Amino acid sequence: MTKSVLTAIGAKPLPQDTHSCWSCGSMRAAHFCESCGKVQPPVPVDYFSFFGLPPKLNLDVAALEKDFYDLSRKLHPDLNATTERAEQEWSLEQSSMLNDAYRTLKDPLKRTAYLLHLEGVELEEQSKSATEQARATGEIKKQIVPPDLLEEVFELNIQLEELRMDKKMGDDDPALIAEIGKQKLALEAKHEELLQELQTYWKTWDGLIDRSQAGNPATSEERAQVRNKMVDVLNRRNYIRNLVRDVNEAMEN
Amino acid sequence: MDRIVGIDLGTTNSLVAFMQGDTPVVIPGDDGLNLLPSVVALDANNQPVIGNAARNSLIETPERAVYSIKRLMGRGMEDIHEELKLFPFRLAEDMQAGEVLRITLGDKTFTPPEISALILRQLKRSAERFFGGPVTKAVITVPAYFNDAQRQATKDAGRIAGLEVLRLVNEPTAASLAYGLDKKQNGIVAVYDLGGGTFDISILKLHDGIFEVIATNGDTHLGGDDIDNLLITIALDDIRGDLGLDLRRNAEAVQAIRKAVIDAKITLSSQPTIKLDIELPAGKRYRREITREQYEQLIQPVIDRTVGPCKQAMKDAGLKPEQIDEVVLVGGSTRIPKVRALVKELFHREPHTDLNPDEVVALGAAVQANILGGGSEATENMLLLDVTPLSLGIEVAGGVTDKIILRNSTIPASATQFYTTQVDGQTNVAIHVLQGERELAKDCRSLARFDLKGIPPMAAGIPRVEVKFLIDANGILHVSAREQRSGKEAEIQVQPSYGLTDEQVEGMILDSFDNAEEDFRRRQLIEARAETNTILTALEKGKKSAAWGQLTTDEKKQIAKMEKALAAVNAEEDYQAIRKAIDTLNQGTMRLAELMMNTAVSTALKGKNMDETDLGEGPTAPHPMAKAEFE
Amino acid sequence: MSYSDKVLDHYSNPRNVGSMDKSSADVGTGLVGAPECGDVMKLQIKVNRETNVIEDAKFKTFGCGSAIASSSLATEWVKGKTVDEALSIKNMDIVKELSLPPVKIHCSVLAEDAIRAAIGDWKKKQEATAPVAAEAK
Repeated sequence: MTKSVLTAIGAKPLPQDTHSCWSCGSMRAAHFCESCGKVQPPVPVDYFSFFGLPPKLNLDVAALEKDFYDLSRKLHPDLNATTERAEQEWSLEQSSMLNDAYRTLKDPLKRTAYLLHLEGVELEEQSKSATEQARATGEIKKQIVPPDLLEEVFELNIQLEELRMDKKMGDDDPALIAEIGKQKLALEAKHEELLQELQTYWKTWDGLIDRSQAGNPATSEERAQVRNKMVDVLNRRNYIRNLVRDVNEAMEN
Repeated sequence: MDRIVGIDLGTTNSLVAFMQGDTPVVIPGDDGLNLLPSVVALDANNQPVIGNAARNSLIETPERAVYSIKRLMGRGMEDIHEELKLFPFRLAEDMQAGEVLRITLGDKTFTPPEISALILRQLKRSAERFFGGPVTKAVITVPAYFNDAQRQATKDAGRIAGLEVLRLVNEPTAASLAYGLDKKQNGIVAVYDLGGGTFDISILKLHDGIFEVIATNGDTHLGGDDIDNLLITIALDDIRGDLGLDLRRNAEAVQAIRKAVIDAKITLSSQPTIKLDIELPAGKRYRREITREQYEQLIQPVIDRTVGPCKQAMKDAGLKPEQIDEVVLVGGSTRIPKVRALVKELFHREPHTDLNPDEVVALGAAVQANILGGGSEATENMLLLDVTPLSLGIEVAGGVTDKIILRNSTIPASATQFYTTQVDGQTNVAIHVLQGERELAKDCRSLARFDLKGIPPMAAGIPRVEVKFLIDANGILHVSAREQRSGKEAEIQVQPSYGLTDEQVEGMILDSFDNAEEDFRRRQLIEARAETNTILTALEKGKKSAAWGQLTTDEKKQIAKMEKALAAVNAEEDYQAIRKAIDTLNQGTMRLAELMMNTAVSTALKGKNMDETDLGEGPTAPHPMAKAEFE
Repeated sequence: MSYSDKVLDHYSNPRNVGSMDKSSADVGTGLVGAPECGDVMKLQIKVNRETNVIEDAKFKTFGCGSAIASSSLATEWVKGKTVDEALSIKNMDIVKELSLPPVKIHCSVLAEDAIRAAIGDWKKKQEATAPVAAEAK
């Protein structure tokens, strides 16, 4: 993940109502007691609720980190090492949940995938069901990612294979290296673009949530529409991510 | 509040430390030294000897001694081929594959946790001497890159030694705590820890007292030992070539060479050359001069092996060398100038070496012990957030590893998986848990096989068993399961791949917890009585010396009275009374000691051979009846 | 639950790796991807115009071991089959043959997709160049 995107997201402050929810302590009190500090038995909640956040995608990562540290100071087993056995168990469970939730929410892509999961999207299943549909109708399956992207991915992989082969043989092809270096920059730019695109959908999604909270619930079509767009970005992004990784590896070795 | 000590259980040396007020201090052993060599031997009576005392037997009776046992912790027979080639570990002859390793010392066998427990018990005793009371709780450090089995083995060793291990702390993180204690600053810190047998690199983010590990990497079989073995191999080859002597199977000679090359290695960190001169069997000698330059060329391949893990850790942390604010060196091997140069090159900055690299891990363990015990002013707001060094996975059909908790996840961390049955009425499901980064299960480390039992019989695919994997703050895995449709807790049977079962550990416990007080008292009594013997023997010698004649009759009477009093309490069971009587006698014989010293000095000045004069313990001891260090 | 030797064999000795002339009229090319993991697979078939039998198949896959093994197996299977027979290969057949684990099922899906895509491409070419042959189908 590039830093710039994170800070761009982080710059946007949380809406006021989230803050007031924090200060009234309704969620935190579920993790530990405000007055005596004792860890409470864990309650199964989703990661957003664990931090007392609405299921929105733009979130203040710096504030999340601060909350993570503050909660760690209450829930971590090291600070509950001399308590009763049951409290130690709760502390272990609460802090593992805190860590799992923080790890997921701080990363923009994991956060998006998690929200989609909460929405019932199984990213792993999409290709399989599309294939089953194609098999039943006898039609050619529509690829989930655009064909030109596939073509590009394939060609670049061929070049990378050449580069690796050259290196193995001790040969050096400056033209090839320069070409791949150029592609790498293009890929990184594309990755950045995808994340920008994703953020526009975040905004749409968060708007729906705000509207719902204001008493005007979004229709299931509206939700599905923005959901599908996010799924599409994540799918394309997987290819770009792999390519950036492979290019870097091939260039390094 | 119970005292909790911090222990660095090292490959080469071990230490115990404690937070005294605001500062962590290392507790010396009964020889007054901070470092306890991690060497265990059996004496002629089959009694264990630990530390410096055991070092001699490495050369004299190598078949009764063992060192670097940490290399075998939590490992199986199939993964120690390299170790067996390079270290004089003697496996028990009846060892079976899949069994916990057993090492032969003399005619007895010990598992690695038992040998480690002997070292831990020695440290425990040092701490008990220091406090004058029992010590039953400890924080023990482990290499950050230790896997679950190695961690479990270390915890077992603690239990066998009679210690409740409150926390296993990663060595580099412990070191950062010791450094962070007086610095209290924010920023990114890299800890490069090259010890006797293990290498770790950890990258941490320090933020207002929170020590958050972002990435860690390492090699649990890379350290000073490897440099020693390289030098030993070269010497053995030289000797075979030049002198026609094949000493590879001569354990005594190999240990003598080992000692010489270790000394050479240490000297070469500060001197430009060293002359090796080793006495060999058959009246031969091995002489060779090594320059630092030659030495550095030799060891380059070994220290280069630390580069990959460092780069990987930076990559995992998403950081470039320029973004790292401080680099801290830990471990004795970082005294090698070439290692320091490499670190400087890797991280583009001069590393910190303010704290003794041999002690900093133990000091950090003491800080963590203090935090666990409720903290103090010095550790207020300090909290360590560590990570799991290796991904945790489960084997799925086809022999593929399905990763469920990725490496560098902050611990405690958890993951939930759902299992079902494949046959109607099936009541058991087998789960194979793995640790490692590779795609195929066979390339990962097998941690344990779990058998989920007691699933209510249903049609295939209907049961939904929720299995929760949780890595605790020690980096150790816990597994629990529940069948969701019936709500029934499924029973889990664990077969650790390389570990001891609970029952086995129980059977090995050296000092039982329940008897901690009694054991401590009995040991103190034995030690006090031994001291009585020492002081009375010294006094007998003193009485025969010329100095005795210089005492007044009254002084002699006083001494006689004290002597009698000591003899009397010595027959009783109260070790504190014995100590008191020893102290009194020590005070009372102070003038005698001074007189003997003066005699010794004047005799020496007159040019007489000191051996001719009866000096009791002689002038090397300032007080012939000097009492042992005791608080 | 030991790892599958068949996967390993197809992984370490993949059959039919390579490529054919994409522009040739009797060659069908399928290029497909699995978005779950970012793998890409290219599978090509050479079909006898008289018999509709697939005479040769080649593939090139960039991805994990299971994806390579799945495509290797797919090329083995389609060779000698008629186009219609080849269309009956289902991903679960590959899963069974290679004992693919649930997390790798998408690799088998990819292989089935590749077969369908290659045949689709070939059919399209036949429609364009030889309408008679297409009608015959």
